[in-house]
Amino acid sequence: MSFDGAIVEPTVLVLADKSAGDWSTVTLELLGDAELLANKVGWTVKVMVFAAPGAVRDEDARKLAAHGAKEVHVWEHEKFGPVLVPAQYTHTLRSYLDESMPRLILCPSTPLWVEGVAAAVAPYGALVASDCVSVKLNVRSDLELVRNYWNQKTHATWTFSGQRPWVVCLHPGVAGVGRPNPALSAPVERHQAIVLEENVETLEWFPPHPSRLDLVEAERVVAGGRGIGGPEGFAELTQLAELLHAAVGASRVAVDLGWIPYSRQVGQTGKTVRPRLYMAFGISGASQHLDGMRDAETVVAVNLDKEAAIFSVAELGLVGDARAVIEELVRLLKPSERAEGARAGAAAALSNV
Amino acid sequence: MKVLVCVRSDLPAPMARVDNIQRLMEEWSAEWAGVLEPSCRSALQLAKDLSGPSGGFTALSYGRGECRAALEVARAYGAVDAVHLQSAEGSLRHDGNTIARALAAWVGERSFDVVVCGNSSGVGPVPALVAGHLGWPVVTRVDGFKKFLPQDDSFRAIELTQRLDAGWKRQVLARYPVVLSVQSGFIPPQYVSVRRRKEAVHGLASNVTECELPVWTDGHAPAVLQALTPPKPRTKRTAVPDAKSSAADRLKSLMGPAATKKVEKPKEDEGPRVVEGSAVELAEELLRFLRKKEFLSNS
Repeated sequence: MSFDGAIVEPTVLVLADKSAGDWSTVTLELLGDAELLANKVGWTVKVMVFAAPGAVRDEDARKLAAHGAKEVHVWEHEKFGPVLVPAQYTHTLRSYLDESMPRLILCPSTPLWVEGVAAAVAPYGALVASDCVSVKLNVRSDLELVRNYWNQKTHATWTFSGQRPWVVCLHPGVAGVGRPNPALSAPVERHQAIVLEENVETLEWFPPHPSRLDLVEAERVVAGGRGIGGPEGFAELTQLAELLHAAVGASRVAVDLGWIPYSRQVGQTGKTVRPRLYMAFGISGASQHLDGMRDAETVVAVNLDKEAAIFSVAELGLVGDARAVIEELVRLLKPSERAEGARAGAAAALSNV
Repeated sequence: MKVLVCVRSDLPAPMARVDNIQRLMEEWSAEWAGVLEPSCRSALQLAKDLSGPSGGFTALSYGRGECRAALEVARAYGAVDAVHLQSAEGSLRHDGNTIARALAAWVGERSFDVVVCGNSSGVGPVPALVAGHLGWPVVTRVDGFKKFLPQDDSFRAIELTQRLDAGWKRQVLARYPVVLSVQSGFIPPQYVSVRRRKEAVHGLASNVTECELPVWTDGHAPAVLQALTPPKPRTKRTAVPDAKSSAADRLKSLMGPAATKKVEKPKEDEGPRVVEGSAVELAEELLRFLRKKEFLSNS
């Protein structure tokens, strides 16, 4: 299965991620970069999607076309559910590469995508770069990429040249999404994927639960403090976290009162978190707590005390009873059954696995 | 079961600056006292757990003198063999593709059942590349193992738990040989006493197997490191208005709220937006905010 001797096609293959229901932002970012590179040297932008049958509709594919895709290849299998398991895609990806080796493969730089793609392309001698910030072609048409290096303490500029295929994994959120052109369209080809799990077989799935979701890894955190009134308040907060796909955090006071385990504590003596969304309910905002969450991208705070320090770091501050607001949020979010619907869909998909 | 754990050294946090990293990559000197890269500590713990109390495991590191710190800690954790891998050209380059090739070449000539690697950010491609080169399966983000299955020649496997995206986990049955990778903190490492560490330092001098690999080449150009620079955020692409639309429409688009999607914290002088009202009003305001920020869909 050597790469040598194979003809490399002038294409950029973007591996699209639709595991969270809609196209992930990084997929659209990848398409933006792919289109720029392709326009420079006349390559074609192809998109490969792994999805459960029917999960990618024609209008979903049109969205990819609007962002620069020229061809969309959907590989369908009952086992491709909402949970990304790249090892399931490896066989299909290799089969595709055996027939059509692209010049460049672009994929999201997340642990599971990197795992799946690197394992698939290694036998072809491809050059792989993960955690990339930007990518361009230089005057000699070599690939010049900038990637995070040495635990993100520095940026390293690398050059890929030669005839072997290149794989670039782009760090999510660094490139931004451009304006789509809805007038564009792309043909959609659907294929039946083959999943081989001879060596690593799934025995059991464990769905996410707010009380188990790793605080440090979570993109969204809903945290509670003394102001939510007790363990019952945390039960309601957990309900809200489930509806928002968030992890549950807590202030030191709530942990000291025994309302929630220490593993959920955010702050100087707990965990330092950097989620995209941090919602603080009934947390006054002691400096030790702020130290653990001040790098959150968006902070929302609910507190009875208008002078609470948490409001100084919040983009939106709501003055009111935190527990009552939580109850109201749960009531307003539940009728949409968005979260339950997604979870039911996930369970149904996984029951086929 | 034969277990190999790949470990590497890192610069101590206060020293991890661009100039020091640049110097370290160009030339190693004895003044660089490396420390074990944190995810490798979890990898050592997993290797130790997999080997069991009676078994031992082999630790491998690569690079120049800085790898010594990693091998010392590995010995303190119970590694019975310590291997230092270097290429004939002086050291393995800092390119994951080359490192993976070298590791796979070395492992392929031996009979290990499990190779454990640390993966600090989780997005390092080396464990998966090694597995790909060897034709072995890979299980990344391992956060524990449950039990070994009965060992016989036809079916040798282990049950592992793997963290997936968005809080999902799965329990898998992985057949040998297999490559595993762990991230920092996924497997809590045990404390290693100072005494054991000192013993490991003293014992290491005469117990490191030096392995020199030939210069690897497959006839294609390797990845070339051009420069190291301080981290600088990339200019984000924004939804600029369509050039074909009228000037008035383009201006409107640029002035409108949907023109850019910059995520900005409130400016110091502006302060946060504080809203008062009943619980219902506050909840509705919060949902509006979440929809505006695209944390909730508008449907």
